Amino acid sequence: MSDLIELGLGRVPWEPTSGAQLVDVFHRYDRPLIGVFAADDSRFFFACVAGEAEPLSAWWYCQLRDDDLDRLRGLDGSELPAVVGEMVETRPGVLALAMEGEGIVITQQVDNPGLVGELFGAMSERFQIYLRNVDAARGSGDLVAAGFRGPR
Amino acid sequence: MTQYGNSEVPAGRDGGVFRDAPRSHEQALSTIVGQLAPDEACELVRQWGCPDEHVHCVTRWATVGALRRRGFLVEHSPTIRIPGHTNVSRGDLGGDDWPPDVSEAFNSCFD
Repeated sequence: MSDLIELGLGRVPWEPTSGAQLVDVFHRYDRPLIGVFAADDSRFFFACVAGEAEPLSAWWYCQLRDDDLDRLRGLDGSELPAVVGEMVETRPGVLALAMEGEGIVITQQVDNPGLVGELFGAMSERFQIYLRNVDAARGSGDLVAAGFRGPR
Repeated sequence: MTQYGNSEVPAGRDGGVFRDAPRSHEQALSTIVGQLAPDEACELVRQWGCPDEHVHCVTRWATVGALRRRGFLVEHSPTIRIPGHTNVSRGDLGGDDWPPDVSEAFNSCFD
């Protein structure tokens, strides 16, 4: 498997491939929000980066490095956002948008971490199209009205 | 116990602001130990700040005793981010096994 995991559309964000198994959850609210899962003999990091309490949410994934797990397990709650932010901003990974009841609906590989912000904007536009196509009545049909404003 | 919600995006099954049944893949609802204000709870739940400066953040409160008296299992389940994180569940019954009367019972526990 490459460093950039291939996510399964329709799967829940915290178990995004067939056979994925949660290893650690560092942050949870009604569902795992930051953690590590194992898949295909590798470990991957995931974090909800927007929409933590909403039906529409954005997620970030990257392969875990050897010392990451010990580092993450040793953090306290106030340190976690900065470490996660550093990982998102400096490592190749995958961005995904997920919708409650639908699972992951859009993914985008990010080879250049500096482009995360731009890619997120483009994905949001694709998500709007997705909502219109599937049935806007099931969701808000409007990302802002749904409380979804993207990563800060 | 504090439950956090977003008044702009109601999550209750009958349009209530607060989530009152787990998602279909989950078995518990989250609450946080203590009587937290909306901004305090939001800052624990969201990693990178509130998208609307807490304008739509809301909290409600229940006691552990009230939840247990209505048949809910209340288990302290700390995470690195929220040391006071607590799961409220019906044991092994997941979100697809919470009929409306269970959601009503859950809601009735809160002020």
